[in-house]
Amino acid sequence: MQEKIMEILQSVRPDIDFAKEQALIDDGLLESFDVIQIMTTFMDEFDVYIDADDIEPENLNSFDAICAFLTQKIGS
Amino acid sequence: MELTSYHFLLFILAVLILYYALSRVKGAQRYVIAAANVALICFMTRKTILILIVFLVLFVYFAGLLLDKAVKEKRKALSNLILYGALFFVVAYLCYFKFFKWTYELLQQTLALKGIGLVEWIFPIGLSYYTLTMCAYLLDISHKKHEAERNLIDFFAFVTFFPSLIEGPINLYRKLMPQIKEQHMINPDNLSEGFVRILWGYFKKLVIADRIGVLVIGILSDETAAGPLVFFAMVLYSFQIYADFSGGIDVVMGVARMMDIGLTENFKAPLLSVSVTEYWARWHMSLGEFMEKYIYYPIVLNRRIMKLSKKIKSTYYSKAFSAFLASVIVFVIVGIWHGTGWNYVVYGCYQAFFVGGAVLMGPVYKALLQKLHIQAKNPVWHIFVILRTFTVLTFGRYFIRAKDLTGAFELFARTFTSSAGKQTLLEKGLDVPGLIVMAIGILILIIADILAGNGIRIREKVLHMHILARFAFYMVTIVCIIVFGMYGGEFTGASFIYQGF
Repeated sequence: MQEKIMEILQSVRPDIDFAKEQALIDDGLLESFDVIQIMTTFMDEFDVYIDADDIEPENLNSFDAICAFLTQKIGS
Repeated sequence: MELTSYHFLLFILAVLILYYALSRVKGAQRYVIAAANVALICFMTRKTILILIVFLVLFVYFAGLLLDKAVKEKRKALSNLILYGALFFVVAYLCYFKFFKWTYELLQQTLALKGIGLVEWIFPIGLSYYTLTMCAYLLDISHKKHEAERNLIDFFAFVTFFPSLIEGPINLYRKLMPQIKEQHMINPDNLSEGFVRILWGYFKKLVIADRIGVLVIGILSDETAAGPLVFFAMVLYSFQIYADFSGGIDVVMGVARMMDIGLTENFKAPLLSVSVTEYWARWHMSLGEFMEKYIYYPIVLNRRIMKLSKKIKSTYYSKAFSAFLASVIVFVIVGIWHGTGWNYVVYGCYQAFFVGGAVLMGPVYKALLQKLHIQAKNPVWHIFVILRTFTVLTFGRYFIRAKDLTGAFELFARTFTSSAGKQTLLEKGLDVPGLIVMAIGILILIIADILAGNGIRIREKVLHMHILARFAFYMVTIVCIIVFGMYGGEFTGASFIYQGF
């Protein structure tokens, strides 16, 4: 699943080093439309529903946080 | 009492003395904050306004408690009823004061005929800011982000937190409330950093913004001024509004920092924005955060809208469709939030056109850059896109600088008309030394943004200076503000532009 997540992230923003960055939202690296593209692709790929109130910096600031968030979403 | 008056400084000094004198008494500082909030409201406006504000605070406090109970009992229909009912009331309260002044004036005139006098209409101070704080508070309770606040004094201290009462930033419960509940010990670093930030704020407001303001009024009120001179006045207005708003916010942040409280930053070097989209992520960030979180994402991720957008075959454009729709709604709201009148609606639509357009045209734009072999990081291109963005935003400000839509179009017409008369900056309110100070001020503003954009903050550097150098820095800045600041006269430089929104 991690490879797939990385693939989606890089398809939206190939210029960002997702393995390294730790403040994707807090540092403003991801714009709101990037977040939308990423979230809607996750929804399609992993068959989960992501709510607007799931979009929190702590869920999206790093690759690890995104993986943990999605794992929890898929499991719930 | 204005934010730029010495009364305000004395007020802050008194609050700080009391705040730290009671630092060892558990829970006392929050009472100091609540009392300071009441005092500032009374000093800055009529005392009856305090009643209007307290009424709204009480309403949201009890609505929050009821909502919390319904959420915990999992009574969805009831919690939705409370949430949407309370939101409707809060928004209606704001809209009434923002848009329906004429109804009060009508009542005033009618009663005057019968010999009954009514007090002058007054807008409750800071209403545009803390009503959004209240909406966010209620929405977060319903989304189980936090519980309702049970202590009414704490809630009042948080909602009407006096530094951000005048022009924001828009505070969120989970960021500010834990800090209000904490005990804060006196810390020289906080005092020093806060003090430098306050000085910088006053410098921006009194030396830069208010000086530019004189010239802008001078040019725009001269009916013979036309063509590039009018556009130049609007370029100056762009700098004025930035120095004015960010200067006020620096004072606010400085006061909060002196109290060991960190507020949401409102600016991140907006002069360096390379697109209108990026500008809105760097300008008035607390409003942007609110709009993004509570309006933009809920629209884009709404199941019905997603279902509708999936009818578009292209994967990219099906996503872009909902984002475009949300951008238009967000920016129309942002426009209306700034003021009444169609000019503000058009201002919102103008921003939406560029932000939404960037989403729709994104792939085309990227392909074009590739075809022309333009690297986004090329320095020349980078400067070009910064200037392009600044120009686009300056044209947008025609709609908020003019008093109405007709006025905005007249301003556009003047910009694109050549004038027969001699176009000069002199005799427009500033003498040559005044113009030189203004130009240096703007240059300092640009340099500060470039430094901030590269992670360099002067106030942090000052903290690490030798005590004598630091003292000299304070004195030079204070002298500059006193000598070069604009005070009184025909131009009332005391009010902040964003105080009126």
